[in-house]
Amino acid sequence: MMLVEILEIAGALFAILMVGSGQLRLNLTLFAWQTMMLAAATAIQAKVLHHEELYIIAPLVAGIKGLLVPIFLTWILRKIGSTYFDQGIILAIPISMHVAVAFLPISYLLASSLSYHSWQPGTIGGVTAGTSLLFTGIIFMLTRRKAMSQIIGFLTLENGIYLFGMTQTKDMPLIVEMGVLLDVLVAVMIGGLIIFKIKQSFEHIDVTQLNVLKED
Amino acid sequence: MHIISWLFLASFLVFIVAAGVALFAPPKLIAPVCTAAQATGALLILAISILTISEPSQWHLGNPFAFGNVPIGFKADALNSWFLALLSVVSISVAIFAPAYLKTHSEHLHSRLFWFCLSLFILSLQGVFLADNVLTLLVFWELMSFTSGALVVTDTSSRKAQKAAIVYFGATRMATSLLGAGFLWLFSITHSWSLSEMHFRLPEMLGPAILITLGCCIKAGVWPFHIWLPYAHPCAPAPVSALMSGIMIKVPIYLLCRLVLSASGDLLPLAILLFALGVISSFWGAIFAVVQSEYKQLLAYSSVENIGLMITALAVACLGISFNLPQLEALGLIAALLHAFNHGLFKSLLFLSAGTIDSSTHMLNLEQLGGLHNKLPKTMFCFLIGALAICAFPPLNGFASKWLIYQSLFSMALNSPNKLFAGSAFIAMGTFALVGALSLMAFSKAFGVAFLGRPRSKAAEHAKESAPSMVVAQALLVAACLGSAFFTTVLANHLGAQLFAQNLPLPSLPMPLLCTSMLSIAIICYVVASSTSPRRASTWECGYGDLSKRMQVSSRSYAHTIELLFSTLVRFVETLSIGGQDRRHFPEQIKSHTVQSSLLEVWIYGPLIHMIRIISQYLSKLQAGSIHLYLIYVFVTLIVLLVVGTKT
Amino acid sequence: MKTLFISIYLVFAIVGLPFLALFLLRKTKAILQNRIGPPLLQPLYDLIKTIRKDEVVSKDASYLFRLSAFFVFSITLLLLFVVPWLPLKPNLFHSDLFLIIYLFGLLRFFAIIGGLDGGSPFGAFGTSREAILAALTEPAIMLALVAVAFTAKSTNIASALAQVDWHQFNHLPVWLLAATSLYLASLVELSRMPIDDPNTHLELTMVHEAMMIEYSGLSLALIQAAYALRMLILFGLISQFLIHALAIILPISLLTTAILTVVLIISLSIITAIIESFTVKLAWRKNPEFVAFTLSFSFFASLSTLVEGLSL
Repeated sequence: MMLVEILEIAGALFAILMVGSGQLRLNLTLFAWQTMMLAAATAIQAKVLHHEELYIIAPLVAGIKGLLVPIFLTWILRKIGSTYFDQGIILAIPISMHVAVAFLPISYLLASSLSYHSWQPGTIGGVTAGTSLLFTGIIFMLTRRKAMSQIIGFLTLENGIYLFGMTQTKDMPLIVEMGVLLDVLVAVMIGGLIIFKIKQSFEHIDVTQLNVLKED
Repeated sequence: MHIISWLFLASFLVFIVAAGVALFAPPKLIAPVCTAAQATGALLILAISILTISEPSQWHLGNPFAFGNVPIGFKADALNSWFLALLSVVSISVAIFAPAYLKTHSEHLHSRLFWFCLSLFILSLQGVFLADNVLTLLVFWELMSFTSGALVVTDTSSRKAQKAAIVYFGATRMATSLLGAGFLWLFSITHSWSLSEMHFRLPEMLGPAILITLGCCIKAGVWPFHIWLPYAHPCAPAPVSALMSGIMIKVPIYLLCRLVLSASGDLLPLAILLFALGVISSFWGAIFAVVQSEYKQLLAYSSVENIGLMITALAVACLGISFNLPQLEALGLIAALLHAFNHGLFKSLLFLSAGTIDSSTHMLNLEQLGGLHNKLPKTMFCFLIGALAICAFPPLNGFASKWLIYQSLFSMALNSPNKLFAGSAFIAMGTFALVGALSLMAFSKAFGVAFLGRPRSKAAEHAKESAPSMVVAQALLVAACLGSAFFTTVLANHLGAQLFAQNLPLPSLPMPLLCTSMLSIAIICYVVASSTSPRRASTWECGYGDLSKRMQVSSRSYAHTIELLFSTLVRFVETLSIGGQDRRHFPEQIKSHTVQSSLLEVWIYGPLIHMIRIISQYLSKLQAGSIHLYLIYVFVTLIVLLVVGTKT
Repeated sequence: MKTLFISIYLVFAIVGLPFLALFLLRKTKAILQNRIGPPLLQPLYDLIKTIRKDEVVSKDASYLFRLSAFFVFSITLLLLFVVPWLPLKPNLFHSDLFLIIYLFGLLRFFAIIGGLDGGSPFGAFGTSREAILAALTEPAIMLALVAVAFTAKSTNIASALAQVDWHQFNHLPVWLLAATSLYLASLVELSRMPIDDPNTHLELTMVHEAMMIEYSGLSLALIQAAYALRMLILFGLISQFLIHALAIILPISLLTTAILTVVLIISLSIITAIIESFTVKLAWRKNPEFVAFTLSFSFFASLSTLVEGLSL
């Protein structure tokens, strides 16, 4: 169980470190690592707690969210070809990372104020990591310009929700999780293709320019 | 007991005589007599402090001198004598320094007014520290504010001094009124004017405690009330700034220490307020100190930073009282007191060095100084020791007291029952590390730009050697700093034993060993380095040849990155005016003026004062000038009072 | 017998290890750049060459110029005996963490004074950048050391390293995260890539080299020797942290610690060389972003001291 917690928290830490960089390829790499750690945590939890379904979910998460999605998004980036760097908006990039770090003790306080059942050994770490991933995803989306960063932030948010669900539910229904994964896959593919189309129409993928569509 | 009261009376009279001499004696006699009188007075204060260091004593003036039925009482105990010792050392240095300073500034400093106000200022400081009851305290506090204000404005012609006077007097008015209100409220709870009865017993004293704390924060220069410091210090003459920054802003710290010393109850709101204000003050002061180009403003912001450190240590002491941890309380209080003492010493030293530079070059703008290592070598050495002390480097006294403050924060992190307080202790330690590094930047800039390199202006080129009395005054303070560093453990343990009944062990570093080892290393290095004298040539600079005076570091460029990183806080407003026939294409004259705009003034104080002005304009309609209207006011008030009076 | 071995080990570590570390660092860089690289004793040859040269000092410099070089060297020597960077080494003054941090600060102050003396613009740039980088990394170093001291409940780093906390796994993340944060901070302190290129002193890389550009002869030799010793101290401290983290998982004897220290110091210099060969020097505006990572790791370290209730 200890290893599970270490992997989950390491995933959350990698997400926070991801906020500190504006290089899109580095963000995708760190996102991939983060998802891999969560998948490993799922697998070990399956072994320790004897939740058989998680044996199926873990490789799915690792394969789809950990490998396919980052590779697909990197391909999209290359096809767009404009720039691999996203400068932040509202907050400077290091300050947004520090804000994400500041939310870590808040998520710990939230996690320790929940009550846990006996069949949930060692879930404070899991809930902390999940809530922190949630906040980190939102902060990432709030402080970035490019549409690709919005997708990465959304995926991190998704990771957090997944982690939170995995620690709270006794038997995570396999169908639900597979459905969620399918949704994510489809959403990412659509998102990637839309970004491509946006780039073709507007010559850039800067979401702050969306407000020119406002009618006045 | 009566020896102390005779000593006090003697010092009192000496200062009054000095004030009288300043007003009435012929001009030639003023400087030597006043210096001698002040030095004597300071020595008498030192005697009082040494005699009462182990045994407290109390006395009051006789019957004709009383406020109604409250006597003018004084009490000297361990806490007082600590600050009195600081006052005496700094006053002696200032007294030795002042005549030479006045001689070089004779065009706009009136020496009569200066000596008169200075004597009364030191007298009032002594009175405030020794006051035993609230009324005596407030009277001497007012005298202190008034005389220091008069000293700030000695150069009455410039607009800067006028604005400084308004801001300074406004701040002291606010502080005194808050203090007065708080003490009156406390009197209604405790029914005694004596200061020793008035220690905080929360929660029933929460209201007055907050009022008194706010009043003390305004006077001490805690964020966000610190704006008067950067106005007052550049205008005041250097010895006055030394006294103000060294002693006067410690008076509120002394008052808070006294009120917190035997406090009891749940001091948590007070502690949280002081902790937050202290950490923010130190950060704010450090940031602003780095970007200043005027040396005295740099020192003023650095005072804000150090006051933040002391206030945070006091907050740790309050937390110790709330959580019933006497060890923590002792550590916090002693750290605050020790830092107050040490800061008084090295800040006065730095201000006196500023005064020396000012006397030689008649300006303190870092952008125009430079190359003073040839002209003012002894001042450079004293300045270096002062800068090393204020940046808290071992083995000097700044390091010793900052180390104790860090120890108190570490102990707070270890022992507080709530994780939240441990987390805030960590944040405070990280902030203080940042603040220390920023003050390193500020003072390496001040030292490097002023003393090293080539002179940047004619005034710096033609700087004259300073008078020996100025160097003696600084050397006295350097010796005091070194002594305080050497004897830190002894002083801290003594203070702890005196102030707290039980024997509470304090963490300690082997300071004497550290001091002697590092000083001997320094002396060995100096001997070895000066044994050979190398060949001299022009600065290498990758072979570009002789450099002009403009081709070196400038104060603003050194701190430029800080300006950029913290540009939301440190705002520089540049006004550009381009003149000429065809301004856009063929400019003839380009004038650029950069002014630092203070965030607090623009966003908080400006609108606040504007609102007060508008309200006053409306209220002034009540004063219509008609006698009948005033008679109606009197009539209505009379009726109301009669009704209320007969009802109760 | 034991004291003989200990003294041989100490002499080897203090005198020989700087050469070994620098040699391996330069050799790795050279191999990655398809060169042969300098021999083992190259730093010694450089030192001897520099000492034998004449010293030339600027006309505008004061006596503080040469004095700063001497101070820098002697404070580094003092640090050698205060910081617990080597097992079996006597530590002075309780290895107090605040003393360590402020002695490093004193070192920096005199380096800055030496750089500003003589009024050279290069020195101005270098010292300004050095001061701002120090200001940004100081909270990170402080928090990392305080977090580690918190686990031992004392500000004495030597006693924090000496504590026996085998199988207290909640201390493990603290030591690892503090070691990472210290490594990144030492990249800044030692002016290595990606903060500053130790080979050049122009424009982009004006931090450390620019400060020492005016020095020559004996003073320059002292500063270069101080630099090598500083690298040793910082890498040694980081390796002590890593060894302690290892000691939490399985018990380690003193002999193993001693050997592991040497191995880890050498590995850290090789890793630094690899980082130097594969990263680009960051533009000056981007340096605060790199330093922010250091601060994040320190925050993580101090947060992990405060949590409880994890199954660690």
